[in-house]
Amino acid sequence: MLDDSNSEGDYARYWAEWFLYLKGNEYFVEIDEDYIADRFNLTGLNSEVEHYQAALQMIADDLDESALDEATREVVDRSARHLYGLIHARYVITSRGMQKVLEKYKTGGFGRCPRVLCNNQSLLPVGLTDVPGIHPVKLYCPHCQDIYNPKSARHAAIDGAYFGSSLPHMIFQTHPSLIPTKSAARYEPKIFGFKVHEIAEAHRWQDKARAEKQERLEKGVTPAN
Amino acid sequence: MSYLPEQSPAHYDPNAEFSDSGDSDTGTDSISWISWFCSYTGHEYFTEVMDEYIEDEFNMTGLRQMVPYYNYALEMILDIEEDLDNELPDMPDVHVIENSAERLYGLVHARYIITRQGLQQMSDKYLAGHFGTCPRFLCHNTFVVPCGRSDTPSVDSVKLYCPQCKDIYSPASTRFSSVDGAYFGTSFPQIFFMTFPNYLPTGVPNDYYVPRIYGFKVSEHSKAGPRMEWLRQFPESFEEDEDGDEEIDVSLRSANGEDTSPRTVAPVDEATAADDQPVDYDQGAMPPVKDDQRSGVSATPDSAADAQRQNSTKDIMAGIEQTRLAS
Ligand SMILES: [Zn+2]
Ligand SMILES: [Zn+2]
Repeated sequence: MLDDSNSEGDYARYWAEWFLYLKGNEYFVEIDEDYIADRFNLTGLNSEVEHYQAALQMIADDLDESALDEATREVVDRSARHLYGLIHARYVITSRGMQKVLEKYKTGGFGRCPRVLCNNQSLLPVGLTDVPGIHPVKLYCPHCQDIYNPKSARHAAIDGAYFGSSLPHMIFQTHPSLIPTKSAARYEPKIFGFKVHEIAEAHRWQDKARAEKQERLEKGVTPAN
Repeated sequence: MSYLPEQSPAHYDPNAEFSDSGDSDTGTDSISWISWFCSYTGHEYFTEVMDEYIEDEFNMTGLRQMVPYYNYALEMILDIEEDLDNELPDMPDVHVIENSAERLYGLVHARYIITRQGLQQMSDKYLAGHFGTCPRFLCHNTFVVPCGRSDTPSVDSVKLYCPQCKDIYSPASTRFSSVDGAYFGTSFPQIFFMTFPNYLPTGVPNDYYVPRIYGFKVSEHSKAGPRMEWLRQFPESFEEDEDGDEEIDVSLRSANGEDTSPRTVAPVDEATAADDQPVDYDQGAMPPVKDDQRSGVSATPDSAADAQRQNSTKDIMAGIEQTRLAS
């Protein structure tokens, strides 16, 4: 390890704080130091990033950056951000991590559903895949159970894998009391106040599908296919 | 005139609908009131109503009763120069007239955009992307059109209609939250897409989002399971899905090599266009799960990965869900 001076201690959590305040990183929650310190939680990540040890030290503010040349420093810097994201994806589905995500959710920290009939339902971040580098983060609405693009372009650069594809569903499996009551309200297109025939027909069809599902759930029957 | 010409944008007050410096001289090179109004921040959805339309009294039928100081407002909109220095004794405050002018223009606008000429102008704006795209991920940046939830002013702000999911959304930017939906009207989207049926999305299936945990569908028997598929499905899609693959989701779709790209007029999001490899759990991205961290889900990453490879998620998910409920 590096010669650990007293001043180092004053800057504890410096890197993580800096990272969390970066523009675009608003959806991240702070990972507990203990979680990162437990190497068991990081199993397999060493093969995911370049200069893993240095990146991990950078996250923990344990890295002597003066010992690195500029090019290496840049790689380590990138690796540290990526690593923090990968750890974040694991952390947010622990019970402690879920609590932190829920605190943010309850204040609308991830935004509100843009769907008018969801009445400003609070959203949760979700990835489309758990593999990094494929899809930017999306937002899940537990009312309409659909996913939306974040409003701000700065979130289009945030990897969805840093939140994972399971996060909102794990949260609502674990806390079913937080699932919002569903509403059957739909937008009804009208022309000069009159319903549109095809739409009315489609809505009847949807009503039927909904009723059938309702019936199936009440009977506890698994759909045949 | 009471509004400021475009050449002095520094004087615009972003917090006010209209600015008034008290300067009554706009000069001969100033833009028209209508052009100024439509170029104002937050007014990006408006199109310019032709003077001839407003000058035709037939088109204005009934508006006199809905707009206070109608005559003054009309003169303001049409840039009919009044010598404001010689105010008439009953002349209201200029801000009052400005509010009336906006109300009058908005109501005329709602009528104009469903005329032949108005529809054409709105079509140009639509194709230029002025109204933006649907925020719903599975609509793949389908272009939207503005609409109101009421034809009565001051009821609700402008919303956006998506022809793909046939739903309405709040504009992303708060600058539109003060724009009255009645200035676009409740009928506009329907008339617009009846007029331009070729703008309607074609060949795009009615995808809906399938919640998954570790790659497995969350059972519909779970409290957190899917309940809203009906909202995103329409009859014609079901006829296509008779082959049994009625549940379409993000990762499986592209694995089938099907085209999920939006209509040609919509810009394709790079990140979503290039994407969609099936989820691969061999990447080591899945966390090891300690017993105290399982959060009530009994699927372990390893068994999940195996199952994913076998690609028979439907049956397995049902099994896992049974296990989960039983434990
Ligand atoms: Zn919603
Ligand atoms: Zn849509």
